[in-house]
Amino acid sequence: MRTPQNKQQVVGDYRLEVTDFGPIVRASVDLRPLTVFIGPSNTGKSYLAILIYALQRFFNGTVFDALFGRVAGPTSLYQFLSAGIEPSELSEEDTENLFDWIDQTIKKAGAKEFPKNFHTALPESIAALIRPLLGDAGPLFHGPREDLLDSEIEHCFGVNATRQLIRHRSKASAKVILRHFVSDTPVRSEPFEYEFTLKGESPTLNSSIPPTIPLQLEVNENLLTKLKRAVSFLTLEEDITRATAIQSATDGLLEAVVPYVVGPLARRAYYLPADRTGVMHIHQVVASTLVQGATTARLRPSDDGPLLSGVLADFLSQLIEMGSEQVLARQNLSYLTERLEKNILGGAVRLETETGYPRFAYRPDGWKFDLPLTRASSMVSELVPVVLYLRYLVRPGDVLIIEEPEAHLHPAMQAVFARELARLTHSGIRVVVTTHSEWLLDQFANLVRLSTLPKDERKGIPGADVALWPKQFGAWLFKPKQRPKGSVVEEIKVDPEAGGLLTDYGDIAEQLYNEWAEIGNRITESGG
Amino acid sequence: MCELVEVLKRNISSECHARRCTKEGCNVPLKDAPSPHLLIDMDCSALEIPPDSGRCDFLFVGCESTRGVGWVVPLELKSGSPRATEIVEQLRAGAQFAEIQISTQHEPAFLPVAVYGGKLHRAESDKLKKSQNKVSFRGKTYEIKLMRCNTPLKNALSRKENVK
Repeated sequence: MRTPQNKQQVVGDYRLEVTDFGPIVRASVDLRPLTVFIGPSNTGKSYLAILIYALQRFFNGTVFDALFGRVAGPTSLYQFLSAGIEPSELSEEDTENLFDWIDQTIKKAGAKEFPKNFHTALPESIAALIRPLLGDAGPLFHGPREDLLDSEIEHCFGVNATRQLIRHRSKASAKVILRHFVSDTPVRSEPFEYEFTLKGESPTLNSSIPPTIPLQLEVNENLLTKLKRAVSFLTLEEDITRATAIQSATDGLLEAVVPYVVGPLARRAYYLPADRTGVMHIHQVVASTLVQGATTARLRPSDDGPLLSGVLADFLSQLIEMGSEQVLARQNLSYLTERLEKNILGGAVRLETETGYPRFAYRPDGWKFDLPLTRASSMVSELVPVVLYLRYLVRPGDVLIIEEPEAHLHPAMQAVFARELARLTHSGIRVVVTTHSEWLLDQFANLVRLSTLPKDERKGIPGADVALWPKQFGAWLFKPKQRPKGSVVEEIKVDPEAGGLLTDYGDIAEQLYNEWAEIGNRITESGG
Repeated sequence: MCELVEVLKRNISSECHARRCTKEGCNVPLKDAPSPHLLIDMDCSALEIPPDSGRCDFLFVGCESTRGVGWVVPLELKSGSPRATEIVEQLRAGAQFAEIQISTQHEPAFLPVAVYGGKLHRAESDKLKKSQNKVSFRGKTYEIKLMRCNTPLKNALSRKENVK
């Protein structure tokens, strides 16, 4: 089974455009390393977050499982793609150019001329052969893939059919467009594009690869091994060697270029739902109930749809999965989890699996015994999943979606946690957050402003080591709209003149303050 | 006819009568504000306020002629985030100016208003709530009303319509 090493690398950001989806009339959101969704309840923040999760699951799971043969079957999609390249379509000159490029690439790598994560463009003659395979007509996004995406969205939202997600009173269709911008090409105007339309029983998925865009790839050991093997075929004096060499070379190149085309979507995503605290307390009960229910499911047919949304079910199953030896063997981001334990929790998060089922506990600093989560503060239950996910599941490059990270945290701790979220971003994790917290936003705004201060002037300022460049941060305000009924999404920027991120919280602060002043003035006027 | 406004119009140099309530990109529409009214530009040199003395940006004096309600409203405009210490000082200076200019035979309603364009930080609104940050006019202390730029002045005054 192939393991795509270059899947670890992602290039560029992507933009998600949504029309008539859930309560959202329209949204165009750039997914940056740290993305924050803000706005009143029922405006679609979680809808968009879950959609991102579903898309990541689709591209990471469905597409890549098929592409790299992670699912059983006579032929992986990757092999199918590879077979789509006909070596005879390459002229003698193109072949010479291809192998000249390969020779130079191997030599440069041997001379250690490549920096780490070096990306380079494919020769145009090969790129021209590969592009059609990745577009509409190619096998990557063709045929049953749209049904699989449809199923993935149904799963994540916990609905029977995606048509239930079309905005009420819309024209009976919803559209989701993903544009993946390649950051290191000179022009950002031509993204790779995937368009998914929800409409009745027949969703459609189209992909578009700009015809002239260079196809880039990362030069790494995996690719170099394959290119060297391709070159070795050329040295054999047999008739079939030319075709075999080209095929071998394109195999390696395809495997390298597809993650680049799919970009950040190729990475795993994890979703921490807003009700995670409750789940942390009752996961054992829920799991045993579901197991019991499974044996009697036929006796109790239900037309009400799934009992749990996919994000909650995935969260529950990932918690249970933490009891497995494979998961326990991982210790991914201990430097991040130790900071959370030390600076916010004031104690250690412990995971035990003596019974074969995970048991989570918390041991406050200085204590000699554990405290069950049911007796720990709600702040602990809130943050334990974050620590566990970072310790056992999430890796740099992955997407971590957290609903309302501020829940159960004192404002001072919210500010500390916001800085730790920025630290996750710096470690390479793509973070998406939905929030109602002014404190969280104020801290993010400070970190963005801090990036404009020279590094040697930052000493003593909280978060001095995790300042965020504006291109690393995006805040999106979901605003209710009367006509058409729903919400629209707008970016809000950190504005030093305005004093930070201009949300609707200021309006509420003003309203409450003015009520206070009005009462005071009436007391004055009435002689009180 | 509003004597309060007429007297001030006579006493204040016409070069200090402002037509628009705007400063540094922050605007306060006067549409549907009490009328007749006079808007005094407090930066006007003819007022002879010493340059190093505090002052608010505008003083609004108006009458709701139909109901006979007079209004005196010092206005401080900030295009950015409001800071309590600056606002209070300026509006107090405006209130003092009004006390001098307006005869005690008139009994207008008084309301100090700060207008801002940036973000209102909770810490600033909390400061404004403190008793030492009220604005005095004729022996009574008033709390400052906040309003965002481009909000009509009538909105700030609307909830005081029963005060005569």
